[in-house]
Amino acid sequence: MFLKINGFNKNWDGFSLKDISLEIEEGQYFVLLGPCGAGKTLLLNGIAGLYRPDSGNIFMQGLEVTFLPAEKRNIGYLFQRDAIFTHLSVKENIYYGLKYHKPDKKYLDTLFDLLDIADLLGRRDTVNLSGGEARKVALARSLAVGPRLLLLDEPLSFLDPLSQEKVMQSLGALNKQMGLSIIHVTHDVQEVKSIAKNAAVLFDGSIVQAGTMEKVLRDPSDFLKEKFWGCSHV
Amino acid sequence: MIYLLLSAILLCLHFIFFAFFVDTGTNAVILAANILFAFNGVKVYRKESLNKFILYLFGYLLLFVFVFLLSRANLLFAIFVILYSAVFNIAYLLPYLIILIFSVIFVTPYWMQVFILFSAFYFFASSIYRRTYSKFFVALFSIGFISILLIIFPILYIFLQVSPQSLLLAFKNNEFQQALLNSLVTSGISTLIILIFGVPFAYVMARKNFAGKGFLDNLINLPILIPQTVAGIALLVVLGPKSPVGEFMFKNCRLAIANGYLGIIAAQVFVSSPFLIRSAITAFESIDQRLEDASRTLGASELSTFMRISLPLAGSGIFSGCILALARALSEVGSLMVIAYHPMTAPIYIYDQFIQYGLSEIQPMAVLLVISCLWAFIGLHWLRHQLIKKG
Repeated sequence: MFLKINGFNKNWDGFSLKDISLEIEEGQYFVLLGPCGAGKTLLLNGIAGLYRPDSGNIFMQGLEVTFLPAEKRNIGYLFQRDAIFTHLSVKENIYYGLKYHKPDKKYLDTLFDLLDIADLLGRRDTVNLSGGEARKVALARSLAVGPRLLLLDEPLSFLDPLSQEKVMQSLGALNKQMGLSIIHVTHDVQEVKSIAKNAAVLFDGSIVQAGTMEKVLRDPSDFLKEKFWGCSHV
Repeated sequence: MIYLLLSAILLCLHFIFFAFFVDTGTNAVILAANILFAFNGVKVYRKESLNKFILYLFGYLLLFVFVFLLSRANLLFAIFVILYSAVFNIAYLLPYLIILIFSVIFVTPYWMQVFILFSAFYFFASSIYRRTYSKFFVALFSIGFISILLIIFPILYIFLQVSPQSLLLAFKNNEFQQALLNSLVTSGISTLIILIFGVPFAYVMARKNFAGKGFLDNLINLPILIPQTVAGIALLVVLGPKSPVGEFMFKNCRLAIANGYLGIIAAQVFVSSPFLIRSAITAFESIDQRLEDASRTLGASELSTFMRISLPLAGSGIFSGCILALARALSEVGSLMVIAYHPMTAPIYIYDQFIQYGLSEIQPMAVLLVISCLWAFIGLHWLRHQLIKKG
């Protein structure tokens, strides 16, 4: 098993992730569905290693990573709203992690080609990036270090339809051509219908349904049937 | 033709009417002023609307009544008439002239200060109005300007009281130079010490929750709350010559803390640390936590993230805090009087001279101190601006 989460618990004031167990195969495009406030981002942060769980374990490629700090897990993370380093240039943003990871040149070339960011690399400041460009830069930055898993937190939010389509194309290509394992978090079933193989539904801090995407769509849980998907991140 | 006629009329008027009030010399000056006024009046009458012409005449009437008849300031009247004639057609200068006239007539002893302050007020207020067209904001500004007034007026007053010669003389005073140097060096070192120890502390306070954080948060403010003399006494008890620390330092390093540079620095660090630490906390808090998280997921350790992301992004805020702390350290007097009267810093020296020689003696030094501090801070702010520009 590529990624295995086992009985993951974490309690904050007023919110908790309860007994989360997930299994993800290598090269899978996995979708984590759930309404706003379900704890999707918190779960991603936990997988990325930004905090320690109260109990439970995370295994990656057979090794336990539960207590490994974020910088040693080698998991790419596309944050909501991109988290671009505003004091650095576009190129410095994308090359930020290369101080710690040394992927081969061919990988970088393929990646930059796939994301089509050659023209962005020359830009000096990050202030004038459009929404789609900023997302591309953030994606390139998280992938430049050659992560073994990519976490996406609402990767289509705040984008116009054209940019959304472009991002989805890139993600599909990354998954299919480069064999990258991806966990895609979203509140919108529509955006991942065609691409995702497996899915889980998170509601109020617990996994309420998991299985293949077809099964989730054909036989949705009560939470999916209700129209809770409309939500706005402001 | 009309000009000749006007001149003739004025000439007659002056011989008949003004001769009763003023001597011949003054009369001639006023005549010249009146001729200028009349000639300009013809121009106004021809080129501008009738209303404006009436306004022009009305202004003269006011000047005549208030300055000439009531104040009996004859030469001043002539000067104002000349200025009035010259400035009437320049709409943006006229209000300043009116302010000048009012301040000279009504607040004679402070006319220059009042003129400068009210001109500044008019300048700002009119600028606000022209940009926003909001009377509400002009009204708010007018109220707020009173607080600025209370700050600026004493400073401005003392500035206008001293002559450049006395300033130069004060600057050549060796004791004063030494005191100024003491001030700059000690407050610089103090700021550096707070910077080195305060910034890591501020980062923890901004980023992590832990038991007792609220208590520590209040503790930071303690030096602002405590009266400075009390702070000095507390430091003296801990570091004074009879305390274990003081004794140890004197025995082993031949260094006295109280009445020494170490004492000055200790007092300055004590009183100015809240300003830097607060600014640093605010600066760190304003950084989006996700930037730091992103850095971590890219492989940077916590230390690397701090050095490459947090510190550069908080840099400008921390620098502002340094300026504040430096300012506070420079201006400290209360605790220094208790723990380290000697070697004297500039504010202490000025106080000392004031006690010994009185008010008039120390005015130039006070002004000099304000000027040096002002320049230091203008320089630092400029530096900060340059650093921000560069990124």
